[in-house]
Amino acid sequence: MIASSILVFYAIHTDAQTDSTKLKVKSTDFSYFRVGIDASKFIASNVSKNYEAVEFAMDANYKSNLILSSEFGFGNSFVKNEYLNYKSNNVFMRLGIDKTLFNKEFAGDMDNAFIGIRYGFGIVNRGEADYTVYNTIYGNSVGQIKDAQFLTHWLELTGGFKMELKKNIFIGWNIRMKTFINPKKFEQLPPNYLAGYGRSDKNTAFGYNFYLMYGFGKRK
Amino acid sequence: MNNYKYRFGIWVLLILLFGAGCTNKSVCLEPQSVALRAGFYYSNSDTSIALKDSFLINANVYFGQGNLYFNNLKNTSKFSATLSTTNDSSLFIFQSDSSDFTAETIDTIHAYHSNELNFISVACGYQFYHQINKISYTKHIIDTVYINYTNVNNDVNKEHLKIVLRK
Repeated sequence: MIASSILVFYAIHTDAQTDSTKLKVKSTDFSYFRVGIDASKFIASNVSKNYEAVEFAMDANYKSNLILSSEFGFGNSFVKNEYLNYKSNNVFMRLGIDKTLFNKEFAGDMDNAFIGIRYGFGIVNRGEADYTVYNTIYGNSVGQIKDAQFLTHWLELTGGFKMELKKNIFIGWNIRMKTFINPKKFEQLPPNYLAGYGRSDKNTAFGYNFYLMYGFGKRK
Repeated sequence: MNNYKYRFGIWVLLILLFGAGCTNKSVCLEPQSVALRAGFYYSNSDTSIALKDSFLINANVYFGQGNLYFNNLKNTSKFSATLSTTNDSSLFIFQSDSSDFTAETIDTIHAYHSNELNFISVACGYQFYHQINKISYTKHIIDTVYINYTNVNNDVNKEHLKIVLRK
């Protein structure tokens, strides 16, 4: 799926580059800003029994084809099965840069596909964990692992698309591939879902966002 | 809105939504208990420590809480059993002939061990690993019990105890 998406990206980007009708428009640095919320997390939090998450996004034009991006949010997750029972919550922030793939077709054109990188970090609080080890021969063992707080860091590759539906109203989606810088923190009792990252029991995770955004500022 | 960009965005989104339909759910597929493995041997001679497999014709090994569980060993020289996760010692009762209940044909083996929690996964929780510290045993049928490997964990290729029987 990812491979096919990259191929589609490449094919259409190449097609767009060869179209000589495109205009070169230079944007003013930090002239236009967008803020938004991830609607997919709002829906997923209501559907999933295992986690709740809220994500916000901000970006600003840096160069004609570069956008500085920041996302932040918080969430909590629950592990509740016959063997384990614990809660965790975290806050996170991602900082990075996106490169747009298409040329602007007219002054103020904001519809574009992009690829980008992110550095993410978060503070994770895991509550006390109750465990049960079942043993029919010698009897079950129950116990508790004390709570923990730690920092986590990760890197992301992302790609997606943002388009302007109405003046200054944008929708955008992206996919993300993420990998922990400090995976050892999650070797024991990882949160079921880490807001900003996803499944934290995997060293490499994939995620997506679907943003609703509002833009303001001066566009060229 | 730019038509080709719009179409590009929609098509890739549809491809991704199709892919997102394939979700993976955490399911526990790993065993949650580890087993102590032991082998029965005869010593080749009084002076040599070289051992030869001893196939038991029809023996029983009792273990577990109240020794309610047993392995019937027929024409085999190996057995495995779990260690206690609630105590630091486990008792095994070795009956060399399942039809003979006289005291001279029965031995007991006490394995003294420490228990250590090992995290498996969110889906499976924890399991206990063990470290065998000491073995004590009676000597009716058993000559010697060697601790071959002290760590009882998921490594299924290790034989932890070598039980040498009298000829």
